[in-house]
Amino acid sequence: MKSEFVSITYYKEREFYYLSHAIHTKEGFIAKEIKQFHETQKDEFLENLETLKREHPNHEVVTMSLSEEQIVTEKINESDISSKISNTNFVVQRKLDTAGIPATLIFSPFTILYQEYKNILNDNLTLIIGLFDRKLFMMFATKNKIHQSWVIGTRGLSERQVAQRVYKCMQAYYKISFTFADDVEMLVADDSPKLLKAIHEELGKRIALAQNNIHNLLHNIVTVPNVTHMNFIPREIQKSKKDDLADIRLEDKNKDSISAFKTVESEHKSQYDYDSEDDGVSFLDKIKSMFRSKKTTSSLSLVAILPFLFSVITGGIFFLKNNQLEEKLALRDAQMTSQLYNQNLVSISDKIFRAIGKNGEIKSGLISEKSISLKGVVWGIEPLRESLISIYNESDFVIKPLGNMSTEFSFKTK
Amino acid sequence: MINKIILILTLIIFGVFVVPSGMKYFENSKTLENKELQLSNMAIELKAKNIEAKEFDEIAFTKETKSLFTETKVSKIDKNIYKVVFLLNKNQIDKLHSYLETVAFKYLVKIDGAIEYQENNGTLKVIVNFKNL
Repeated sequence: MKSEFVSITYYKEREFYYLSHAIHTKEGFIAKEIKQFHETQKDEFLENLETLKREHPNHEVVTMSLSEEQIVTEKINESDISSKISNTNFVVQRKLDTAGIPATLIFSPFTILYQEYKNILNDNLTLIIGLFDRKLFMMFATKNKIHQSWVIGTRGLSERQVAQRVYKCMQAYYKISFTFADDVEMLVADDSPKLLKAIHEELGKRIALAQNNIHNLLHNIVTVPNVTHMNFIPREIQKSKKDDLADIRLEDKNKDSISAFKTVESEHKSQYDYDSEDDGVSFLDKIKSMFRSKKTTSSLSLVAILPFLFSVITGGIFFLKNNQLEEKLALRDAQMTSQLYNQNLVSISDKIFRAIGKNGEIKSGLISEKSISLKGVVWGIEPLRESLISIYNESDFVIKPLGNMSTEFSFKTK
Repeated sequence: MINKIILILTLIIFGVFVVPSGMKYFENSKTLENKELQLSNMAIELKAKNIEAKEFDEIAFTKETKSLFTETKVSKIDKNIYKVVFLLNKNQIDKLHSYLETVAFKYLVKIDGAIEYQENNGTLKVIVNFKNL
């Protein structure tokens, strides 16, 4: 007995993960409840996802890439992460980061928009706008192809500012094609009447509005024939799917495809990291990307070499300046020590000469910080003894009468 | 891979070399500033003109002290030590004291050991050894 086919859908908007699943029948899909998890509850979210996978062996895990860095093109390189949007167009994006969350189908908002509106497209130029995760995914399309695409982040902008930016995109497109869009279609994943009104006023056009949530859009797109070609996961690792919904039966493909996807993804990542001279990527992102890449590259990048040179040069300058400073500091230290020593020695000498005064006269003497030794002639024995002893009480003062009526004194500290 | 190694190396150099060198540099700058301020205060107190002392030079020293004292003789007695003999009138002892008190602000010297005095017929011979810093 074949088990029912279930699409398990999830996406991350701001700091929340949203998880849902739908049971597909021939009449359509029956969507189940949407569960919300804060990013701190990622483990719980993953457990719920795994439980759903276990409960429904025949499933697809479907999500939407809400990256701003995706663009609709007509040509792709083999190395691009791309998904086919129509016969002539592809969506290309530089990185595809699933943050370790398993997925078997990853769609671009542009693909979803195209699928929603392809039946109304004709030769007139239509501007299709999708609002997902506070980003506007815009494309100018006709029946045969998508001509141009833009992504505008709306975070922090007023409705009026967003509308003005949409208008600027219209003007920019006009410069390329000399054509304004004849019709504007808008699909919003949340309720935003103010934005619709502002865009309507700014563009001065009738805007047809559709509202649907991302889960329903994802549940819906998996029913499209050849849907696997329209997602970002490289087609060679996807198992072929039959067009008829009733025949969508994928048997135990998840593990293989996920691991294979991860390998391909890492190859893509390293390739993009290698090609890191993109204008839109910040310096910090470039540094982060170096640590994120799984495949090694042997080329030297300026992003790595510049901080290195800066560190070495700055460190070198500090080191040299510091050496000069330390030499100067040592000299000033020595100068200060000398000055204090000289000053102290002169002060001792000065005290001795003042103590002798007019009571005697030095004939010879040796004055140092540690000891004093004097010899001379004395005229006032007691005053001289008193004044010298008052300075150095532990000392010897000796007098010796000389033959010529004079008296010699000697003074020595102990 | 090489980029990763260089970035890790950069972080290590920054943490182990740049930050400590920078901190030490600013610390030493502050210490030097304080030392120079102390020396300047001492110089002002002793009425010395400045604190930018020069290397000891025999000729410059003899020329400078010639006008201050009766006679000055300088001789090198060791690699870094100069023997200086001042001859002066014994009444000029205060002048000599003033000079020796501020000599470290003029020349990078320290009086080595003791001051020796000898008096003969009213002339005082003072012998001082200067050690070059």
